[in-house]
Amino acid sequence: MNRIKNFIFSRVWLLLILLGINGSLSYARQTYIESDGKKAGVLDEDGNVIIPIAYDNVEPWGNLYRVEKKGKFGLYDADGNEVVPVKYTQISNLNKYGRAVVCEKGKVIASNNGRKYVNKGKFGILNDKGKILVPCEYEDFYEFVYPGSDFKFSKEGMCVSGGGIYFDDTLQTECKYVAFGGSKHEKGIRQYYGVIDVDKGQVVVPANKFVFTFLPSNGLARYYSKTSNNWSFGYWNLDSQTGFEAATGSGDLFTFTYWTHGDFCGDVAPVNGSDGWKFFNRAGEVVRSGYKSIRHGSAVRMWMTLGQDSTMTVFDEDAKDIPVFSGYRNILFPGEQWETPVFPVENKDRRWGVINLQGDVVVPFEYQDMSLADLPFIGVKKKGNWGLITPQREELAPCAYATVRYPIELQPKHVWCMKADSLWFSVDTKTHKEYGSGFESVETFRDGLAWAKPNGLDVKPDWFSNTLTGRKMDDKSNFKRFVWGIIVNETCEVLFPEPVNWYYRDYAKASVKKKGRALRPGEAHAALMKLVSPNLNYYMNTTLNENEWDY
Amino acid sequence: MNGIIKIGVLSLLIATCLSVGAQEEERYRRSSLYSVLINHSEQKFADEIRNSFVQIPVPDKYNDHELAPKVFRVSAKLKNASSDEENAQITDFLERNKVASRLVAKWFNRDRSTGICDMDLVKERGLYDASEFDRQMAERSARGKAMLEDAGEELIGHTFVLVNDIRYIDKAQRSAIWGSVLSGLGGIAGAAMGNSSLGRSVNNLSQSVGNMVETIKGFKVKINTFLYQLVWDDETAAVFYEKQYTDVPDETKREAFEQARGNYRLKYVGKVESKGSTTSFMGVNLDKPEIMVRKACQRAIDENIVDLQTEFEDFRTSTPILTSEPITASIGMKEGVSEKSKFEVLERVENEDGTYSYKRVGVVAPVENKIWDNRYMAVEEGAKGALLGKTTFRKVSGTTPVAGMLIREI
Repeated sequence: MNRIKNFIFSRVWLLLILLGINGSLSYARQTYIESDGKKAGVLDEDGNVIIPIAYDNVEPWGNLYRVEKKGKFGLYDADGNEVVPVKYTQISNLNKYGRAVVCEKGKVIASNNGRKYVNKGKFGILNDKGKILVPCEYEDFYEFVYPGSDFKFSKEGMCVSGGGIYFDDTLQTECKYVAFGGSKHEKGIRQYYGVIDVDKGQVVVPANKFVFTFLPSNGLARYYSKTSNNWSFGYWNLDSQTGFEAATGSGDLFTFTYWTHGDFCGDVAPVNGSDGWKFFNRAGEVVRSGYKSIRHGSAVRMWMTLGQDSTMTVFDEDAKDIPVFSGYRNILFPGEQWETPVFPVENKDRRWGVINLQGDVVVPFEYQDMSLADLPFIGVKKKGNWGLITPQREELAPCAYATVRYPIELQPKHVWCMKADSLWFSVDTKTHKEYGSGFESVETFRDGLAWAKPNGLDVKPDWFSNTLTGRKMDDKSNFKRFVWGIIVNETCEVLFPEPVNWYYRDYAKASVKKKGRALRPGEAHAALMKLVSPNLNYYMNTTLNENEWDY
Repeated sequence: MNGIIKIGVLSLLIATCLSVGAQEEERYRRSSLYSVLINHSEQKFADEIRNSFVQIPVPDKYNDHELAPKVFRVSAKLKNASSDEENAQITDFLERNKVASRLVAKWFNRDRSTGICDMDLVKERGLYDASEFDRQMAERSARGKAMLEDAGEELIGHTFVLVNDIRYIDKAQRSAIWGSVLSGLGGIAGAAMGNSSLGRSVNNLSQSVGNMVETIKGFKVKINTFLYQLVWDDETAAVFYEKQYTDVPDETKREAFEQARGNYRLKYVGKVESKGSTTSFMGVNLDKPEIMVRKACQRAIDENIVDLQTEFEDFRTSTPILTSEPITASIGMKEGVSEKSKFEVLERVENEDGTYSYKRVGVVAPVENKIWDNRYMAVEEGAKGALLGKTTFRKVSGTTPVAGMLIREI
């Protein structure tokens, strides 16, 4: 009877929003999580029981419900069908790719950073439908999140770090592949792990087979294997479960100063052997060889190689020659953000120009050097000085500067150019007029604003500057690590006059935008005080300094 | 084809209505609020309460008139904290720091270095036509003077300071439990501060998650909220406009304001005390105790604001009607709306001199089961009415309210 009274008078109707895994709201029929104060379940809008009020906790989990009873978790669908039985030690939240970790057995422990993990559990992976993709048979899982570019020997791809699984977090990646097992760590990366193809639920690289296995690419995983002091560098075919050695080396891999071999792009992969660079196909055959250097243009899916005699060859990712580039000494590949690719090339007279895919010259060969930005801008060098042009040959900055900062907007009105005295000036891209009296360092213009450090600006450590750095600067040299500047517009008019350190520059710019005009010194001070307000803490019996108030 | 066009037009109309509704909701005069915390550093959870407090936004029925310093520590219980009388410690703190002058300076966006002021905030919050306001001010017309008086009375004079004395209720019988909770929090704080020794000590406890989860459920605070109001009378305003207000750099006027800071005053209005009831832990991720602290603090502060509004008419807020059929307004349980509430309906009338006055034209009351639960974390809690987005009212007497009219609790 008491239970019924509780149910009626103290029930908390919970209208459930079914949260999609992308954070979007999808309103299914209205259902409510019902609680009698002790147990929870789910009812529909007519009061029909969907999930009995018998669980210690019920939460929305994607389009399903995650239920908990006596420390065990399971999943139900919105019709009340049990999707995953309530027997698992933990089920993590879904990530944006619709993947979660499920764990059977083991004990939930709070770590010293407040997060929880499962000790001695068996882990698996399930999708947003509640389907168990990888059964709970593994003692641990690791994601491919450690960038291979951190090491000279690997340069690219992803390997595995040593961190375990916290159930407060979600998985970080789409988890096409995950690693398991392994034990040793060196330089922060894990070793001897195996690889699971999550969608197939199969082990595709056995544990303890290789020291390092990189995230598979195009069906092959790049591996590093070791015997005694000798290394074998090769590829493991996930389908055929066979591998081939492509090169060897010896010594401490972490002291290698060269890139050993790269991932498969298309049908070929580059390998750096004792006789120079060569390219292997998927069958383990050498299809090209004898190169002293290589360059990859992933956006245009091309390789550039230089032979021992410095002859340049350009071919695609299927190793087919692209004849239009033959006869040139060097080439630069444009990045992803170039709508129409054109190619700066160096001719036999050591002059740089730009050609298109048909081989037509779009910028004449009149430059000493060229460099490329992420956006379609080309740095050009003439008579020892740099300028900036577009692929359409529009001159944004003349060749009169020690260096030019690439714009980050497609139609820049001004660009920063540095003179021989190492000071930066804002240059109008139409008139080429210079603005400003020289800044020591600058941030690229965005929406007409930039953070810039005036020449000679010297901010001393005091209460206010300490507050703005967020820490006390007893050590003057420590304070110097913080770079201070002001906010200017493209004609170098000062819009935020109070020195602001680099970390708060976006806040200062937002204050300027909100005001719609240059801030007065007091306004800038007030804006910064508002920013640091959550950090301020005083004794009530003190009288604050005027500087510690915003008005 | 026709159908498609009709649907398109209908969509556009709906979008336009929603847009107008949203704008109407924003455009009404509000009182302005500066809220501070008295933080008991002698108590457990002082840091968690502080960290929660600084994240609590100004209630949307008030203008944000916050000053940067918001947290003030004490190491002992305030004297006479439970008394309804003016608290000498708090008043002394406000006067010593010349808080009233800073609230005035904020109203006029006063630049400390030059003394330059502007009326942008007054125009914005007063809903004045900006160019007409500027013209009248430039002409120093009677209409301009009336506008200033109107702004002073309705806006600047409705600037309030809330002083929240938050103490957590430390029941002796819970001490062992709190100890274990603190260990857990210490671990989090230790990790955040890079204090590995603190983290290690918690690790050594090998505390299970289950214990900590159970203990945070009963977190309680008691809040004494003291309300002060900025004094902005004719004399104060006259001195300010004549001797201290300048829209160009003026050292004399700048200095005059600095010298006069101590003349600005806050008057004590009154005080309420929260009920100290337990806050539901529903919707709180119990692995994150700080969320429970925030929920308990914010809900208690919201309750105190409602109680202050009930007791002190000047502090009451108005809310615009969103739609007339049905009658709805963006107000709910956070503002104390219950089935027993009644609201007067006010029509704003623009007078000949450019000022505004309000005329009562009716009374409305909330409809049962149509009260929006807009309290902090009500959605996460899944509370009944949490997703309504507005409260629906029925007419009790008078005119049928239309969108844009204001309602105020009676």
